[in-house]
Amino acid sequence: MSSVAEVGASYSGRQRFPALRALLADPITSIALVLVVGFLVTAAFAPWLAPYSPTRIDVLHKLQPPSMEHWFGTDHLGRDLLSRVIHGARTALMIAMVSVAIAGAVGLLLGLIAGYGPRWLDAILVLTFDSLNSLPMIMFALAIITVLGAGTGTLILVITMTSFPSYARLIRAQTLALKNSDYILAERLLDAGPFRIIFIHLLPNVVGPLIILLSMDIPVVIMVEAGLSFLGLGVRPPTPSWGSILYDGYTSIRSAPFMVIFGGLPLVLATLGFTFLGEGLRDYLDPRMRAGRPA
Amino acid sequence: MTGSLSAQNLSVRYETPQGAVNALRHVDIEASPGEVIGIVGESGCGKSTLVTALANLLPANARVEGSIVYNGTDLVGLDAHRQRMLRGDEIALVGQDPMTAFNPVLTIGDQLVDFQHRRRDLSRGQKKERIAAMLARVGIADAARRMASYPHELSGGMRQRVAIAAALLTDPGLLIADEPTTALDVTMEAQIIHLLRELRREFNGIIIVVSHHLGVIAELCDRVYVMYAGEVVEEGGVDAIFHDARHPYTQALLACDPARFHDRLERLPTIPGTLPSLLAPPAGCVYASRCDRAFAPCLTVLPPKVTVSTRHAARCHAVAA
Amino acid sequence: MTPLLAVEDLSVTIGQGGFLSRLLDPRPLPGFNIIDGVTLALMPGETLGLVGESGSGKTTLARTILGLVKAAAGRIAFDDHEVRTSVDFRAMRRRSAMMFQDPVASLSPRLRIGTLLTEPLVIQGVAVPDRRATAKTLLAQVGLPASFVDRFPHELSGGQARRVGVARALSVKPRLLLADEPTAGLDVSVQGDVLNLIAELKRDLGFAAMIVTHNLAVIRHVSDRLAIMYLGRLVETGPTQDVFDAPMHPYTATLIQSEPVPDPRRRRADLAIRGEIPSVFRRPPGCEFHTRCPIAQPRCRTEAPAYRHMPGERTVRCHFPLETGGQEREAFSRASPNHRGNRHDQMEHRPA
Repeated sequence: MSSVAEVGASYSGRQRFPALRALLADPITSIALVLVVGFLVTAAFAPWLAPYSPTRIDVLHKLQPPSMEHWFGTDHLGRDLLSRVIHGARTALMIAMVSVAIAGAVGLLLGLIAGYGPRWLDAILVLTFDSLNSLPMIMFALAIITVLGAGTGTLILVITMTSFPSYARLIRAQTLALKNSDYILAERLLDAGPFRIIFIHLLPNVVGPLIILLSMDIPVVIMVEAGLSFLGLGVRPPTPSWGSILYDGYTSIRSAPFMVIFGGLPLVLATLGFTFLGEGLRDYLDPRMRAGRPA
Repeated sequence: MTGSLSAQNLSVRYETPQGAVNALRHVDIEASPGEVIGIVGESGCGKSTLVTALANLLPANARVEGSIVYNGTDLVGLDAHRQRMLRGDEIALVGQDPMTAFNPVLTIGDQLVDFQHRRRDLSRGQKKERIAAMLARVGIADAARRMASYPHELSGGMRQRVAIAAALLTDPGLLIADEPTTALDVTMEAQIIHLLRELRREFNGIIIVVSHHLGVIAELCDRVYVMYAGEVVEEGGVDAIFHDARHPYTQALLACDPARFHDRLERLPTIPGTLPSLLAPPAGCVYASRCDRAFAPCLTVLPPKVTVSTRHAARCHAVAA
Repeated sequence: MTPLLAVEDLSVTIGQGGFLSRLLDPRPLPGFNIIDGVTLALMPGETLGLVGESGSGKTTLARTILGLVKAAAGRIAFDDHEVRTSVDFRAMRRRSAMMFQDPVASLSPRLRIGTLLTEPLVIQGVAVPDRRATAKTLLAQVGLPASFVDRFPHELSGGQARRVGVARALSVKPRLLLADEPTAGLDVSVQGDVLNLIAELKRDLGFAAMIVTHNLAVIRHVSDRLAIMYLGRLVETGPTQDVFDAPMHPYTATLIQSEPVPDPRRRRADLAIRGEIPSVFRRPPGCEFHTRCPIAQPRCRTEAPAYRHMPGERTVRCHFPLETGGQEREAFSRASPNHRGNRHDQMEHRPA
């Protein structure tokens, strides 16, 4: 069958955006992409999209059910719930993406160094990764928050610290597998320095699986942020967060059940969207998953 | 059970997003019991597709036209169940890499017992006896010890012997050896060639040897089909092919083999040019673009099959002229 | 003339266990010599064929020479300077090039051909004002179209990737080229292309080459001298044509006989060699070939033969070398019924 694979390979790239087309062949992935793009747009244009200020208090109209003026109703302080949900998207995505990006970058760099560097350095780094990994996240978060105080910065720090070790381990394993490949040996024979080998030859080839892992971790981080904010350990009020909306809704669940619904729905949709998109990416990039298609 | 094999006007296309790949076009193959048939060609010539078609193992995106009649049954369009029956009992395949043919976590003995699962009339002990006898027959001395080994504990040559034994356990009428020596060292290759040659004396089915190695074909086969770009360009007795080749491609292929020249050559002969695209095969002769004897009709008219002598034919306008 | 590359008594050892296992069990492990006492020399401009089966250590030897594998003992001299420290090896590597067995796998997969071709120059600090133009010149030198600069390695065929490998290897004008199975995986009609190209460039640029291969049919036509390896040791060296015409080591003789002949009229009557290649971890005592040798004597089982210098610049590592007209050759012919003297005499001597 090799002949067919070769023929297929030499003719790939004829179609425009074949990668995007293949990715969107799965309807669930397409829906997920629409959801994710929707949330990203909402987060980016939150101040323009939200009908009211998310922090404007109007106690006279507190806990109003959904109406034409307040589509999602109002909360226990009379703030417009739709505006809070829209701004909550901004908080959730900002924290998720910033912390995942930082953790990804740190993990990538340390993973490459551990994988390609000398063995003693590898041993030290792996010990560090494993020690950090062994800390229970909630305990660790509580400890850090106690010391530094709750807030967006602390939240990002906690999430970064607890998630980069697994990224670094992934990158290290990839690097070790490629370290003795022919093309890296060829580069060493050309007298390429470690900097060139790591950043020009190893990095582009190890980064693929990391991107998938990062995209699958974004929903996890959104949940963590919501969870910590629900507990009052996350972003500080009055900054809107889906977690704090849920908490406020929870306290008045009998009088205004819509708050929990409107606070929880975007959380569920965002999580599903990012998770399915990540899975679609993984299936598309994993060669074993596309056995049916010519290479 | 043995029977003759006949493929008539066999074509195989693979449906791909880039279009249909014409991997095999109007191929005719004949083989009678007791014959060793050689199929020779370079990469992209369609020999692997031919083997998978004969063994009924084509992937789902393959479209088959023509017929493959084995022992009176047309294999094309046979239902899946009967295909499996036939594959298990009648048609056996020995691949290029014997390592991938075996499950790495089971012993050789267990796997060979399992290969006989359709023989319900035999007890496990009887099956093991058959295995031991078969291993001895393929030249494995301490069969009992080898049956307890795992595939990775055997050398490449030894694994290929076991693969051949496994293929023969079901008493097939058709044994297909796909590049049986390509993954082996020269000294091991010589041993496997020797083994296949010895086996054919007792084996009365059909053996098909597929190889890109002219030496292996010359050593083993009675009749040879030379393939190029999905077509059989020349067929004939092994002596006719190696000493009286008529098709320009066969001649060029033979001329390229450095093993044929004793004195040092200043330049090794090559065939200039590249294979035509199988997505849009040429209207005329597939070899025309690289042929030094090509003339006008070669580019537009499909060359006829010209009979040179009994069972020696070439698809070529120049031979016809 | 002094050799460009001189290797003396080179050995490579593996299997001494890792850092942790040595810590737990300080008793020294035996260690296995996968390369054992190899001595060879390569003259400037010469082509040496290093021939052996899998497990013979031929690839390891090539990699050890360039310092990718650490030698346990022995000396390497390049251009009359001993190569010992990593600085020496780096200096040597800058004047040598290596072609790997798998041409596509030895090209960094995410870079374009143009970038890959000029990378050696950039690494060596050669000023390349226009990388695209330089890459196109290099492509033309190996007979590939200029449009290939924008391709990725996986978009090339095996033969094309080989040519890119050649261009890349030669862009820095090396004095030594090490080619590991340069024809592996290539069709008969294409392998000549690559070898002719190497020969042509060799004439123009005047480098010395060491071609590592198991393909006897090919090496006969492209090398000046041969070195035959078996289980990490050199068993025979000498001028290519002489070795093929009258091999002295029984292993060389059986190797030449094992090669299938593309002529149905000259089918071999019997096996040239029996038995399996032993593992280096269980190296037979005495002469390592005695387990398979058709003319082995009791002495071969106990005493390892030393290099013997023979007339005609040949060396052989055998107690009973097959000398022309000698009784060993007679015995060898009787022991291997397949031996047909100069069986190539009846073959074509010139291309058709």
